[in-house]
Amino acid sequence: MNRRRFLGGAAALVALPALESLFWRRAVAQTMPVAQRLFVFYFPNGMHRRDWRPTTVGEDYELMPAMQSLAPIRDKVSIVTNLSMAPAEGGDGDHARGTGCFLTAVPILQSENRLQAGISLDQAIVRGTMPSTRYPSLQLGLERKPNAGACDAGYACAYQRSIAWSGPSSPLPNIASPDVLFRRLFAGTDATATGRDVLRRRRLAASVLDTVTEEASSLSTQLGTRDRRKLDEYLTGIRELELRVHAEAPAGTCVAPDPQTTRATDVAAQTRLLIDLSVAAFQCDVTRTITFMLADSGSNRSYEFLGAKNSHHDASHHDEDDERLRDYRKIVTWEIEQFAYLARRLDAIDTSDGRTLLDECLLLCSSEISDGQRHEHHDLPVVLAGSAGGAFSTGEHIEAAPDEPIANLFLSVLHGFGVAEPTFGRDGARAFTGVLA
Amino acid sequence: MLLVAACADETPPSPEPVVLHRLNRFEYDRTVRDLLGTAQTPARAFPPDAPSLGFDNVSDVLSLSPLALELHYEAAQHLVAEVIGEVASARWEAESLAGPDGAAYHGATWRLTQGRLDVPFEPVATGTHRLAFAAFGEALEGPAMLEVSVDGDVRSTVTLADGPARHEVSFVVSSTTSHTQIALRFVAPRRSGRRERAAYVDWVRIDGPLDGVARGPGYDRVFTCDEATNACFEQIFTSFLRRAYRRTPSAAEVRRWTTLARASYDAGDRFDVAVGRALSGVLVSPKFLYRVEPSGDGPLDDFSLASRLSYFLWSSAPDDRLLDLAEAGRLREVLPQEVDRMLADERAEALVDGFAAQWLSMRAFEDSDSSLDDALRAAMAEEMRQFAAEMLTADRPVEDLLLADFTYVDANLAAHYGLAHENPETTRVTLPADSPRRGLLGKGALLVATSHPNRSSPVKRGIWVLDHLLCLPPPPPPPDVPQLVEAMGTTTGARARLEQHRSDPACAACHASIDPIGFALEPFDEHGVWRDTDVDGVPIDASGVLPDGTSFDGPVELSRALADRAELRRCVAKKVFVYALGRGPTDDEAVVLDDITARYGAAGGRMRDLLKVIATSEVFASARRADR
Repeated sequence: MNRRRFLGGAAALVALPALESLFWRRAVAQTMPVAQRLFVFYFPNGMHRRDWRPTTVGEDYELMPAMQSLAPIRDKVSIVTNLSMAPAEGGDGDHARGTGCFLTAVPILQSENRLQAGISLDQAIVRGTMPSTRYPSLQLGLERKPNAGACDAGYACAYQRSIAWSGPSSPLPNIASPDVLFRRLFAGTDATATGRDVLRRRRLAASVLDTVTEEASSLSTQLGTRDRRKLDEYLTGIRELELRVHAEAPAGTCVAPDPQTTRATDVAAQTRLLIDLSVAAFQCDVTRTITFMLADSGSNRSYEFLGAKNSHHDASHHDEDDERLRDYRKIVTWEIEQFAYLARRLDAIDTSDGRTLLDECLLLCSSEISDGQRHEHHDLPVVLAGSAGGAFSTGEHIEAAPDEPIANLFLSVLHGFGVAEPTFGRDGARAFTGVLA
Repeated sequence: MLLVAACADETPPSPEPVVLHRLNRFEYDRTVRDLLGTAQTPARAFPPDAPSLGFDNVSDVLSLSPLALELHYEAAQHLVAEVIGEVASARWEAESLAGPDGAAYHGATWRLTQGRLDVPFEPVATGTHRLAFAAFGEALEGPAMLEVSVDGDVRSTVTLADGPARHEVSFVVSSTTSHTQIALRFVAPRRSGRRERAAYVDWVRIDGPLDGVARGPGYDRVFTCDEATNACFEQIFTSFLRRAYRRTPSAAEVRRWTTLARASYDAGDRFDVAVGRALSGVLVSPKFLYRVEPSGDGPLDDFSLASRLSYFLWSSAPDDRLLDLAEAGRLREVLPQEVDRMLADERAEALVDGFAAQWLSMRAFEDSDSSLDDALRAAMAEEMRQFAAEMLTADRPVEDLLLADFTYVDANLAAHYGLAHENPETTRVTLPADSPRRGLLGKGALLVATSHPNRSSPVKRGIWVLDHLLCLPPPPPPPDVPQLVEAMGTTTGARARLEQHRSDPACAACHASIDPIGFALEPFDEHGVWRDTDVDGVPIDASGVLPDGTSFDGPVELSRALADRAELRRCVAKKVFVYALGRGPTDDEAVVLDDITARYGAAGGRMRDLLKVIATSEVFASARRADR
């Protein structure tokens, strides 16, 4: 470190705490166990079984057509079959129910007036691990495109636009803009000339938030249960803000994508940018939990750039028609390529002890339904990548018992992340140990 | 008679009322505009509000995530900075900047050999800024240089010394709506044959505007006095809280914020900065971000009623006049006159961009994936916007939504529609008697929004009409039935295929209502262009009969048939009800809707009659009760 070589009077004053924090981070990295990270990758409208489901079990499983892009990292990928989301069954609105259940594994309330789901897997991990990162979790997703504004009948649209739920009535909306995300992650802090000033500013910001909290408490006495829940959402946000007011800027030595391109014009570019920024967020340890929606549930986005004549939802209702099956395959193949891109980017970053960043992550990729034609929630396509520091086994096709609840997988993910819950969701009663190392 | 009685479904009742109504993005931007006179639109960066019941202001499902709150907090800082004219000063150590690919973090500096080092600066005001940075170069032949660009334009090329030195470049910020992108790029000496060349950057600092900034338009609204006395602090917050909280603040509230500002002042802040700090807190207080209403039986208090009115008609906070009337307890006395005044105010334009844009799928059109070119797309959006604006204010019955013999086109859109019209500006035109462009159902924006990206969809269009104009949305197809396959099977012709599909009794009940409406609109393709044959080259048969025996041929006859239906007026009333109250009617409010429908019909059946009837109705002025 040769900062002392530099001119600029003010620099010396603020340099010291910044350096200390760098040293501290390195020291911590050497003595602490691996920081586990979770990335949930959601894609809409399912996949045709022939496109993803291996025909052989074990390590030598075959990569089906849509999964070819995973070949270079196949020893770090597992495919799990036979998992089902029973709480999503029954009645209309398979997309809404499949998505509301996607990480919560509880049946959702069919209503446009009221939201009722459960806490999602990612948020349960955040709650259980209490990460000290600047953002406990991030929710990303591509900008909504048609279905002409329609959502599944009788369900509030929120069910189809979020997979992360911090509470039964609190869906966490996605950031779609790479620009907004970039500024959250990497924009300069409002540093002032002296370290003393920084401390003073923090104290004052904290006092603003204290006053805001007093205002909120004076409100809460007038409210009923459902409104108190809304106010709790608000107070959770204030507490997180307080933490960030005191947090350091992200540590150096992490490489962010080129921010001059944070204004994406098409789906492919926007996807890449959000993934690149996610990788940077993990690398810089700004967060350890990300959920990502490649599109909203039931999306009927056009994939003309892949040469698909049918848009997504239409193609997924293929009725075994050759043209639609071809389009469906083109689309899901592209989707898995994005997942593979994420995994490979993470795998290209070395951390310590010969590990890569991917080895410190668990990536979970799935959809709200299995096959678009049948709209069911049996035998969901589930792809895992990374071992989260050796907690999960990789490199095989794991076949669960028929209709094994996917909530059991979620329970084992919780356990793999050190969160000792006895159950998860409605039907996660025993951990699916097949995926644990 | 119901078109799809067997398919109709009721939403389950919610036992307990929600009275915390978060300002949505649309309302937030308008509220801060009216509160502080700002041109900033911070809510663009907020996460989208998921709609329900067709609108994004349904309070029960509007949540607020921690990230969204952080963005509100940041917006508050920017708004206050504009009010008091704060000068930005930002400084980045190398490690807090994101290096480009190919750069190495080297001894607390970024070592650049290629790519750019980007500095994402968020200006708070326009004007000349100074960029300062410390850097040095390493090059064997010729000097090493750094090229400095602002928003992509190269402003300066700085020659670096061998040893660290401070460099300055000034630049002008012309807009504060997005961040200004400062980039430092290493420029290699032209004839250097060796690999050892690089620029090292240690820190970057930006100050500005250098000539100070004008105070924002909000300054005079906030600072009614400017001396640091208790009386002045109290005066400022009593007045500001009244407008921010939309009611008279309590003494405890005034004291709370005054204390905070005072403490900031006593700690050495300038008076305006100290007040600004508390203002930024007020702008994230739940009492500002949420409309808080009392629940229970009986009438709403006047302040809550004033807010309901202003958010319904303006999507913004009540103005001083409404607050004065509420404070004096006179709002109910003059309610009809106030509603007239508000509808005549330019802020009522929010009804077009808030209510009509959602009800008539204008937002969905803007999001649509259609391959339309940008000029046509813009012209269609403008057509629908102006049409909706006229329908909301003009002396025309609701039925003219379907029957209106005028529209708004520029030459480009006119050509698209096959109309003779040369004016390149969007102009109101009267349609020829035989034009199929009458009313909503001939509008490109709607026809595109209800199409697939690459083909028209009779089903989407049929469902749209049933849902948006008659409030009879058919349920989704039953499970395990192949979803509507407009391109399925071997039969030629979209219509023949749909009719084949309808032979399945599981589908027939609903499709008997959906399809005839969609078929009548089939002469419009996915871009809204008129055609005589469908994608398969089969001549289009646009005739149809609804289950109740109503028959029609083509879009104009369909529009007439729909305009004749009693459901239309009631449905429009229901849509406005949801938007006005931010919730759906409960089961026992069916009679309320009937009454509203009858009353606005008696008043002339115009949209503005409906708006007024709802704004002056008992349900609108009553506290929300527990739903049965």
